[in-house]
Amino acid sequence: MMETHSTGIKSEAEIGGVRGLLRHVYRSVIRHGYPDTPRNRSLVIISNLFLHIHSVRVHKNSLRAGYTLGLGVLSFVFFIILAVTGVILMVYYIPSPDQAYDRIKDLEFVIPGGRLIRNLHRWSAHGMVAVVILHMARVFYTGSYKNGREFNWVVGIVLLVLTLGLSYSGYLLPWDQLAFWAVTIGANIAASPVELTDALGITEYADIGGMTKRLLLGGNEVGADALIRFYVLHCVVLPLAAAVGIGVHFWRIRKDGGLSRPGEKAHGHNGEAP
Amino acid sequence: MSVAVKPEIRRERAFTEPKTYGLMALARGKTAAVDKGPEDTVPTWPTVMILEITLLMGAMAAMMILSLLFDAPLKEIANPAVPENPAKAPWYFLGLQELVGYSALMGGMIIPLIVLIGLALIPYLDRESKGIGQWFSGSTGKRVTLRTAVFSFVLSAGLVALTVNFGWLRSWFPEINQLVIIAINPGTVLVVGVVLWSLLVVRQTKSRRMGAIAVFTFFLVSFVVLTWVATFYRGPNWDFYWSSSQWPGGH
Ligand code: HEM
Repeated sequence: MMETHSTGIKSEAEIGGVRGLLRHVYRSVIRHGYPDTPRNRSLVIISNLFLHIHSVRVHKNSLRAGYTLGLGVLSFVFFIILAVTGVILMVYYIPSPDQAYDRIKDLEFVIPGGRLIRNLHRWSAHGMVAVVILHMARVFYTGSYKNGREFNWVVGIVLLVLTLGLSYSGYLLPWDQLAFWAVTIGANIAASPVELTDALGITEYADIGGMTKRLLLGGNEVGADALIRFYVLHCVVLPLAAAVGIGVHFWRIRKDGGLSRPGEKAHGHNGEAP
Repeated sequence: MSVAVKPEIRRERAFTEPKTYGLMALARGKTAAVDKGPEDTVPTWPTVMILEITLLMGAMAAMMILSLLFDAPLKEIANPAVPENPAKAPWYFLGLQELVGYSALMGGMIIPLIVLIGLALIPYLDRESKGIGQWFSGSTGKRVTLRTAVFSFVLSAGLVALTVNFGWLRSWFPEINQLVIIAINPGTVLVVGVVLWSLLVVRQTKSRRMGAIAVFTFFLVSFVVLTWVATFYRGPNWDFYWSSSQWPGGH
């Protein structure tokens, strides 16, 4: 028998020459043999930062297409498509009322592939909202918010709000009529507590609506300040928050013992029997 | 049970079933359990990877085709002096916009807040542990879903039909105080409707899970109905038109 390294292969240092060097380099990155044994298949997952989000083995029910409908993964896929196309759009976009619209026109008519990237970003944004809502419905109707998954459901609701916020804040950026008036509606909704304070005759003293509207827009109208605020929300604050939230969401799935399945044993918190 | 468990072990078990597999399973050589994973499991590699990559490529291909066929909208440059009419929010907010006409406060802030808090509280209101991992938690759930869907469709579509044909409080009593409309409008009627309906379901089925199914289905169906109406049947001044070809002003 050969001496085995901790990764299950012959120690590279023992092989000389160029071939040995190349093997050494390869093995320093891919630290396992060909994944055709249970051991190496496990190592693929646990020795890779991106894959170790998965457990090494997964319950068959979690793979049933008719169970998850792939919707959670699709939500994440859309998030990734949006992040990549969004960064490309950022390279050309300038968040100022003087330039934003022209930059979008450039993307549409001048920059090679610009229109495709913008289309991808726009349609994927709609897709993500739809898929996240459907994912929530799948989780709900399969009763997957129970048995230790209560908190992950709440994390999901936060992700839903972030998804809607991302989509909505992006709506203003092209600075066209559609953007301007849709966001004006939103801002008027933010100002709507004046309905109550007006009816009570106390707007003068406690203008809650006006305050929230000014907080959102940085002024009383949708203008340059509003555009910058929406830009920062759309390109920095909300994507970061969503990325962190998705991380928590995935981590909790692992902590909650993988996906829900029929006939799973009820288990309470802290290992206590319910 | 009075088995003494060391505290570390108990903590490790939090939220998960004790697993009978782990890296210990990775011994050299074959065992009698080859190809039949413990607890009905399969190795993540390659099955899950293949599924995930398929979803990734499928979604990318679909978006690519959509993007080659249809261009994202871009209207004239923003002009504060020329209001869009109708000015519509993106589709997922149109259901709310349908309610905002009566009261922006109730339709645009309070009801969304109620919906969000209600959704977040679902796992804490329904704490039954039956029916996990099963679509609709069984046949009763399917029946509740179906009946709730019919009821909420009739109620939400009926409210729209009522207001389109006969208006609402302000058209009947022009002098009415806005506080009354904030309190009583199609949005709040829907909220009261879902509360009463789900209480009824809980009483009849003696199950909170069924109550939760009633609430969620109600929310989903009225969301779809209102979004549909606002997307396809609302024109200038938020008036009702069966088709945008009937809009005045040659749109
Ligand atoms: C950005 C949005 C979201 C992403 C990327 C995401 C991603 C995922 C993924 C990949 C899974 C694995 C199972 C599956 O594919 O269905 C999952 C499960 C889950 N998600 Fe989400 N999700 C999102 C939003 C939500 C929302 C809005 C909710 C509910 C309000 C939610 C609640 C849950 C729960 C409770 C599970 C565990 C399901 C089970 O154990 O069967 N998630 N999510």
